[in-house]
Amino acid sequence: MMLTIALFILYYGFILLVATNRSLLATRVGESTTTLGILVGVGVLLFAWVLTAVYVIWANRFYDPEVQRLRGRLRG
Amino acid sequence: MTSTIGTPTPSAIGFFLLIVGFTLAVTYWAARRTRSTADFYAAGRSVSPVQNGLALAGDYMSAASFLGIAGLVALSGYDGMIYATGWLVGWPALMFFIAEPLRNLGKFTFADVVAFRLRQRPVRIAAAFGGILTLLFYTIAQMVGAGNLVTLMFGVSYESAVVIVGVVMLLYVLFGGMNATTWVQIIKAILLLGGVTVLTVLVLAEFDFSVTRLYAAVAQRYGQAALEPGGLVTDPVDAVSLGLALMFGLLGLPHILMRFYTVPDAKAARTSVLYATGLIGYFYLIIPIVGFGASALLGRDEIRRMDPGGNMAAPMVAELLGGTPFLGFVAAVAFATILAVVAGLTLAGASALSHDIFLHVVRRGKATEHEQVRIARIATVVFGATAVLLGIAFKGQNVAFMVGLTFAVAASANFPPLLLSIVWRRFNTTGAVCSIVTGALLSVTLIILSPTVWVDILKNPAAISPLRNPAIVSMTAAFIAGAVGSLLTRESRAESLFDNEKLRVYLGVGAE
Repeated sequence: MMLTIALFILYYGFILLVATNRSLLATRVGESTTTLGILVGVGVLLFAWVLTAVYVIWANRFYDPEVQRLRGRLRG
Repeated sequence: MTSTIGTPTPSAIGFFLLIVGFTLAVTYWAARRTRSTADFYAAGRSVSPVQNGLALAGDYMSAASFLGIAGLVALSGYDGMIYATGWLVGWPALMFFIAEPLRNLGKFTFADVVAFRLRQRPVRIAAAFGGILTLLFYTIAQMVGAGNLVTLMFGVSYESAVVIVGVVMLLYVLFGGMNATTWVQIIKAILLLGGVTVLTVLVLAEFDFSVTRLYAAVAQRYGQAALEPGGLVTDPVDAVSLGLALMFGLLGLPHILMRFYTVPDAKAARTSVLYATGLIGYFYLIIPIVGFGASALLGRDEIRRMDPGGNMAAPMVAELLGGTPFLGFVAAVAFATILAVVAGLTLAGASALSHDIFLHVVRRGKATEHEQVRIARIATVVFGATAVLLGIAFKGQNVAFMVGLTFAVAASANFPPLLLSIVWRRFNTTGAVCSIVTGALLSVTLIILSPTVWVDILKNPAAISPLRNPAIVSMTAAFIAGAVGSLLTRESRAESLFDNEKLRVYLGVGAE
């Protein structure tokens, strides 16, 4: 649930930022011509993957043992 | 610069024949292992998470995303990157909402999940309708893209390109079923990711391996604006609507959902999404570098001269930096990409026709294994022939909106009933049918009335619907229709089976 909210904030936040506040994303980073928008775009891609990874770690560590426990109780 | 793009060079033909020959050899091997329905539709449920991750990535990374996004970035700069992010964010959502319940509940198609505790015949008909509609729109987009691309790259005629794609992919699916289709996707994913990686390294080598220098070169040539958001996304409502379609459309793509039945269990499904997300994320991360590289090294005018849509940006950079042999390789990979995606679509279409319609509607769930596999093969030929005919019928049409339409229909007609059937006890047959019909009709109608089709293609002066992307309306309406339809009627069997379903969704009890 928290992950879903994080995903929504991440992506729709980004889209709305592009739609409503272009000048912010056009800000240059330091001395280079690279814009903040490019960094944010790359950040969205990386963070989307991190969210799936967090889910897998959570599911493997907490969800699966719980499933095993409940299945054991069903059999017993 | 003289270019060999558009002429069938020995290297392009050589690489193409090599790929086709190798994949057909794999198909021959797979055909001997394809006997039961579980083999034909789900590769015997023996695909490993890494293999499925690659195959999912292969199914999803179409030629449109490879050539299209590189071209979009090359011609419009930053706006292409906004698209790239949209194509990825569906994957975490797929993981959080659908992947594991789908694996635990279904057998071969997503309609299995929707119909799990509902009345089979009406739900199967509606779900197969939504699924096949989605697949047909996607197939038209792919086939027309294939015809245009192959004509542009190899110089052969449009019709023969479409027929070649149709015949080769039919060989894969018909004889090798899901086994062969999965391996074709894996081979294609590795070739595509490998090819784009080499291309990216070659581009970066021109800029001393510094992306900052690459951006500086682009800014010097086309101004700082190339690195800023442009005109693609301006209206917040339309932007969110596009985002909804891209994100939840993935959760309603039948050929992607079908892949989850090829792995042994829910945990393997989960792991395969992680691999797929990583591979696809990497792909969309490096594609813009190729696009910016094309902009800086070739120039936008040069790219437009080859193809006004910019689709040749990546092949042109490949030729500039790697010579004719590397161009041949990239062209062959692009062709293989289309073949693989169309094969996946055809298998999904065949499964909806044979498993949902023939077995559960015509035969009410009763048919022998042998008969089912035979019908599945007939359905494959039917869907494949339809794909070729549609490809030829839509020759010369502007079908760019078809991909958007696919995702809008998938998000509006397939995803809402799928989610509601998993999470809501009161959801019933009436609700499912209402939801699918509302989502499908509304999304198609709104796209026809939108500026994209009503003004740009049908040449009417003003659009009736202001939205370019209907998902925000049609997906919401499908959820409401599902809720209203369910609340107006009672189906005690569906409600009492919900506890059973929950055990299976969350604990995997009784999963196939």
